[in-house]
Amino acid sequence: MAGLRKILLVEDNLELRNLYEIFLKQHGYDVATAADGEQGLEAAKQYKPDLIFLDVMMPKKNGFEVLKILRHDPSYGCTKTKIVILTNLGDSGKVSADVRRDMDGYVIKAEIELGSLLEIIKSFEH
Amino acid sequence: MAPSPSSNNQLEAPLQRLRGMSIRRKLVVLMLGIGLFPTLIVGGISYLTTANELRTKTTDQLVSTAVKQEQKITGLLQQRQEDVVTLTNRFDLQSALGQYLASSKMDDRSAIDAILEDRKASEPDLQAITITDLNGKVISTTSDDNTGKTLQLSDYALQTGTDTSVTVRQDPRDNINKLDIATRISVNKKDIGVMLAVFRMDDITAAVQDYTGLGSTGETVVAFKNSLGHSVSLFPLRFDTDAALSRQLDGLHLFDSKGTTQTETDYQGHEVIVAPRSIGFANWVLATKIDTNEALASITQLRNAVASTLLVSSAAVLLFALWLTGFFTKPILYLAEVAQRIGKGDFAVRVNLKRNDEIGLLGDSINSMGMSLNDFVTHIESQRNRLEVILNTTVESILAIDKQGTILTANAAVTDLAQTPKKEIVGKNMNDIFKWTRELQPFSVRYDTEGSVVYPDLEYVDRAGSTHFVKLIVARVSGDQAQEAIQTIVTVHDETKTRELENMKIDFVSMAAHELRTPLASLRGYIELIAYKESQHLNEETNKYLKQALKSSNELGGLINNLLDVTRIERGTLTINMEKLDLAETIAQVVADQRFAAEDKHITLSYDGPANGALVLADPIALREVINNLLTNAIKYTEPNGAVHVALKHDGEKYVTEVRDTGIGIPKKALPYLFTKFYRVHGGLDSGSTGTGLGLFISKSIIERHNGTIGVTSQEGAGSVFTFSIPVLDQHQQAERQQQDQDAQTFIRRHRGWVTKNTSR
Repeated sequence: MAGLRKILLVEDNLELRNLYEIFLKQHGYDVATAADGEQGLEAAKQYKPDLIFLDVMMPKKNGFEVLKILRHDPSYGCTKTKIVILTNLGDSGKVSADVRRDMDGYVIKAEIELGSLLEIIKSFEH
Repeated sequence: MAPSPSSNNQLEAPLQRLRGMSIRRKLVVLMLGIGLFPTLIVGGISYLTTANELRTKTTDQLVSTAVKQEQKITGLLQQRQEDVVTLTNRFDLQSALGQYLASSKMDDRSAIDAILEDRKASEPDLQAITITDLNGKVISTTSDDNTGKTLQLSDYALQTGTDTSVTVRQDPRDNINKLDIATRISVNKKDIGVMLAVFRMDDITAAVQDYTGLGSTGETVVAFKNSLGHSVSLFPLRFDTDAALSRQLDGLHLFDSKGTTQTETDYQGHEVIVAPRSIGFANWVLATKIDTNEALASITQLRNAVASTLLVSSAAVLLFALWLTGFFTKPILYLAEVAQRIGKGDFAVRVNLKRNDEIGLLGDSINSMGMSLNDFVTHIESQRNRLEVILNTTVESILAIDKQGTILTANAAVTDLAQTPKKEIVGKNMNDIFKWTRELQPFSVRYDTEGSVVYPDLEYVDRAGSTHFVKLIVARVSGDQAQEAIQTIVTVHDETKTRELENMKIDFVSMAAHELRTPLASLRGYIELIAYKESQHLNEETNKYLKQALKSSNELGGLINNLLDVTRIERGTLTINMEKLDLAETIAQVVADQRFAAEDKHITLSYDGPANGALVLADPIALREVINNLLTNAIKYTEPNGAVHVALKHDGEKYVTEVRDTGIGIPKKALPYLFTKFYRVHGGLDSGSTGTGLGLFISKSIIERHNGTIGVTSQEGAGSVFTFSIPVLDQHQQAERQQQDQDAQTFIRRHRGWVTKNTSR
């Protein structure tokens, strides 16, 4: 699956959102952003991204709720879109089986280097 | 404090028995013996003596009466006999008889008849007089009807050869006893005829019956033997037939009499004393007799008197003995009773005897024993109370149970724990009151184990519905199999509060760490951004600074991760993702990563072991963290120019990894605490070393999750050797793992900080 270009970044922390946006744009991706769960859903519908980086702890709707809606509600057009969860918990053991099924991967924000984002995107292209 | 009932029963029974038996009874019997024996002897002797005297006196009296009777009756008989003899000697009769006999015709006997009639008329008792010749032919008679009999009697009289015969017969005509006296009529010593006089016996009978001093049963019986040899009773007449008479008289054995008196049984069956006297010329026996009962009545009286005296004295001795023995035994029983009450726990009771003798002394001893016991028990009670206070103020719940699990006692904390009054707990079975769970599953605790067993991490839901997290310590304290013996002490340590605090602490640390991660991620990210974008334009010095900032932020991230790992270990949520791993490769990678750090410190870092092929089942990230941690520590605590050597060996079922350094070593006293949380050997802010003290704790937890062990040996100043071993991946596990890997094909890429699936959507 080559050519993941359109990336939606749903992250409530302004600094991180900006950081990831700048970094991804520097590497040639189209990036849209959203600052909470509801904005994220709206953006997903409008923007039709190829990949969504979805934060968990967000106002209005958390990442897991958003994930569930995107996967089960075809009206967002994201049932097959790659969705990578952004988290700081790192306890995949505590994540429900539904989430494990619905997501395509997860990122522990405090542990990755920026370059890992590019590796993640590339991992879906092969 | 109630004494056990069993010991009391043991004491009560003999005391109860003693009230019946005992010294007292023996003493009473002894005193009765001592008191009555002389009385018995004296009474017996005096009785025998007096009885003998009385008997002699009675006998003497009887004999003297008999003699008097004999003399009286002999006199009467002799007088009759003399009367007849006198008549035969009368001259006129002899001459008239002579003339009659001399006359040839022998028809004139008027002179003889006249004399006889005259004689009869002058003697009222004389019933008839008959004279016969020597041939028995009647010459003259005053009777007209006794000729034949007279002859017979005459024959008898003559045949007996005596001059006079005295016989008694019953006159068939009037059934009255008659006395026949026959005698020869002799003239000039020549027998010429026989005279037979028949007398009434009224006077003799009266004389026989007239006796004195013989009481109401005394009498005299006359007997003789008739011509046929039978005993014949004369007076008084009691029987109709000769046979009956004979029996009666034979029964008296009168004719065999040898002594002065004899004891016989009379015709009435009474025992009698008889004094027989013989009147020889009449061939009579006079039997003077008296009932023994009457004769010896005074002896009976005497006997009764002696017996009643004995009886009275017996009663007196008995009463005296009872009183006297009571005098001794009552206080003893009283003392026993007091002692028993003291034994039952009534220590206040005292002996109150006020005596100066031995018994008083014994009473005083019991009193002082009671007081000592009282002091002793009071002392024990106060000790017990003190212990009880301690027990009841202890926060630990403590229960004592017997071998069946019945709760014998429980302290106050148990009441709080179970939210149940103590009285509803004691006596119940442990299993009915306390239902333990572990991770919400019922968990059964064995209370009958030997030694002491600790059950950690149990839960207990009290009556109010609150869950308590508890640790149970079941300790066998006694092998006593007796009922009601405390066998086991169960201590319930309620860790709910501690756990809440611990959880709060973990929650705080966890939250704080998480909160730190977001700005840290941002910080690192921006540094990287600068490094990526500006690296071509930055001078070398700025680049170096940026690298240093990145390194520090990485270290900070490591520290935060450590804290999070600890919170996960504490909560039991540390996730280990097992997969097939080549331990040799992993070690080689970490060694390679650390090479620069070692070289910076001029430390030789070497690895001895296979390059690959050491397969284990492990979480790659976690295991890598362990190895990294051990190497980092080794390098950190080794002085420059030292060496750190890593070795991997296959040892049976496990792989042993060894990290050996020539560093400063670890003090011996620190070794036991090395793998505990927050422990730092060279602790304190002034030590100059860095680290959270969490690394070894996390490493130990991780290795244990891999079913492995970790340990250390060290010599201070010479270096340390850390060793961990984890099981070799066996064939079975390998097969299983491959299957699981296929199932989990979705997660193929696992990197530091991120994971993606390879599924296509």
